[in-house]
Amino acid sequence: MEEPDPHDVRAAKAGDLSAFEALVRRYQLDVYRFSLHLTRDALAAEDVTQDTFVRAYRSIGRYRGNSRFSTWLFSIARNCIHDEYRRAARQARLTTKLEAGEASHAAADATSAPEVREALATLPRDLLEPVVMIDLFGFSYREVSQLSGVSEGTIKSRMHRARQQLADLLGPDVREDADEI
Amino acid sequence: MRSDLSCERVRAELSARLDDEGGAEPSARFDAHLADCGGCRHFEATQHLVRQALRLEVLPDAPDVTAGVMKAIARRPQRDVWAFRIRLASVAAIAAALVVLAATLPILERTPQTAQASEITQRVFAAARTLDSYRATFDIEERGWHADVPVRRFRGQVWYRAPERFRLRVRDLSAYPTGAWPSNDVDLVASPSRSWIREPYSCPPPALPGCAIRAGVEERTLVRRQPFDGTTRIPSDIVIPLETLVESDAFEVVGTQEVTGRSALHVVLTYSQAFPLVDALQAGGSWAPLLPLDRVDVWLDESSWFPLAFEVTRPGLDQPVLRVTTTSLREGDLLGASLFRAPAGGTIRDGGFSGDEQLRATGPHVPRYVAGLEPYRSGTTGSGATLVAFARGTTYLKITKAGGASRAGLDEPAEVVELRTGSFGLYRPAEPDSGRTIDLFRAETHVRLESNLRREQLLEVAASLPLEGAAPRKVRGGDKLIVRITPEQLGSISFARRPTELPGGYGPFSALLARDPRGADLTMIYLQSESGLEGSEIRVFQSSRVVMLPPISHDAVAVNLPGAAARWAPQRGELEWIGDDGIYRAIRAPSFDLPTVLGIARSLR
Repeated sequence: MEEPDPHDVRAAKAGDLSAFEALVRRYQLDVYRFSLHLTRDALAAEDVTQDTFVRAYRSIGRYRGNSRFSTWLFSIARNCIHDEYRRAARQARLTTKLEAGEASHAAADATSAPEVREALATLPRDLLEPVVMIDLFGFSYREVSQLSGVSEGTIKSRMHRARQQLADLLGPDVREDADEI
Repeated sequence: MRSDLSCERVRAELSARLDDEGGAEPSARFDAHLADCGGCRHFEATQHLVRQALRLEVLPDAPDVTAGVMKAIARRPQRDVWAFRIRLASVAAIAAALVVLAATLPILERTPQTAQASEITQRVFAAARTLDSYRATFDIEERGWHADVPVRRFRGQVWYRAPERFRLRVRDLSAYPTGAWPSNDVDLVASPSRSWIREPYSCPPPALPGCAIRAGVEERTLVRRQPFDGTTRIPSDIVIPLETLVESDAFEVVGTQEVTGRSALHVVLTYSQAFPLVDALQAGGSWAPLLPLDRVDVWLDESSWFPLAFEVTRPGLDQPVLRVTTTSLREGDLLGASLFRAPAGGTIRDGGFSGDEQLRATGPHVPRYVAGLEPYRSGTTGSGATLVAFARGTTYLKITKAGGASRAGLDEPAEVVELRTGSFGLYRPAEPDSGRTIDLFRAETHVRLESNLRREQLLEVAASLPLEGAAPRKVRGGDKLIVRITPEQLGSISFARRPTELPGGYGPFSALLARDPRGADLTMIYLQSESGLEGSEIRVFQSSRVVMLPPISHDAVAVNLPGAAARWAPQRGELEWIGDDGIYRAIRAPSFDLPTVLGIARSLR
């Protein structure tokens, strides 16, 4: 993912609202897309996106630049998404959707390959999250590890498991073939 | 014959290699297994399929949260004390008749008659250009400011004279528990050359009434104010909601209602869209926070487009958070300049602008086309730049010309726009402290145009600037370099590909290379030679900076190109893909259908 101009980040840290607004404009679609994949709810994704940037503004003074800005921003988005999970779980709304693997209409529109979308919808949250971060946004294992608070080895393993699950769902039955080994 | 590696290990390696994290398995054994195992080859193909599908995904209508975010954070302490809290707009209006409304404006439902939002936007814009003067009185009722003060009431008065004289007076009529609570009285006066505001020392409502900040008011004055100064923009959306209704797809038309005998158009939008109007009466002082998705109902006079009333409501609350009702309004009155004479009290800041005694509205930095605006003021800014402003009603255009050393704004995010003169500019949308801007550069000149005209109009204005000399081939600012490229030079750009097949009569017109440490963008424009500059352009954009297809909001469809999957956005007439060389390419040709554009794409060499 493209990184912002360091000048913008420095200015935003110094309280320059126009610089921060430039960051919002630049990253809001990425954050929204990330949120939409993980919540599968357009309204929730919009709320998460807005909340992410409001929280980012509050804490940008503590951003020290020792990670990519996008990684730092997505870590905030991830926290917002988990807050949304908790909020939705209380309402027994989003959780039901996720467990049922049911995508909302908005999420259904969000990919151009229905079979891939349906396959992704079956992934549990701990597998879906690294797939979205790595396959869609190009984060490294190390960055996802930092974002998720689990080891790089775990991320690598989750990606393998997620891809195996997706391969099982997409296309011919490869398990038989594999079992021949 | 397969190697002794298991499918599990091979697939783990395939997965890691896709993510540039592989290398654990010896290549020869790995390759041998893969060559012989259909299951693992399917695994490999599937993981590519998923990645490609994700990166080709098309978003449904993605929301723009910018306004909501900025509004939410603007209420925090970093607020610029020099800035009025709201985005300015402009004022406006209509003929000359006197309109006096009754003291209250009960809203009576009538048979709805839905108007087209785009037509409303056009009419509001037209009204904004013709307004001379306006005065109105408002009743303001607010809830949710403080738990101990369930409701507050205010009387607001506004006077406006086009284009830049504005006066606001807000008087707090609320009943507070004790005299220790601050009264939220606000005064604001703006004239072409000065602005002044007086407001109570602000304190977070939760800290009231025992706020540590001493009670009292503060005053700030800006002298030698530049025309349409960004930090003291006038909240003129209260007069005509030009900024609020600038996007016709941002509001919903409910129908027509009767408001005390007047036909009023009822529109609904969110606070994130309506804040230029809603905040206009809250230019200073302390107010209850509003949320981006709060619903705002606005009733607009169908003849003058003045807002007659508006309400802000929030789900779960029985009563509106804010209700503003116009109790009287008049237009066309002769409002003397003395009414807008700003005092010079409190902290004084010098804006540094020196106005010319005689208006200079001609010269090489004055465009031939000014969208029907009239010369307004000219002079010199504090930094020595020459400035000329045009205005009509609440619409304005400001042109600032600085010496060649000025490259202000070049390193700020901006869109490179090609003008039909073969020149280029840097376009930025409106900001809270600025209208829409276009920066143009010459060898010794930097010209900035700022306006609340529509983008298309501003581009036309920029194209009509009779700047001396040709646009420079290179412009450098910060770490960004913009270079004009000749067709012959394209061969020296490693990632550049040129279309070898174009629709009849089309040929190369201009090419720009924008480069910084993160990569380079190349924009090539092709026009139809027979029709000169009037042909519908074909734009070929290539970028080494864009590593994956950017999100878009259109109903795009997936199409195939040799060696790449692409997506086609029919409304924009744009085809996008990332080639096997990792370069992002996009062809925008709104005048052509998909087969034609695909033909252009396939001909890139």
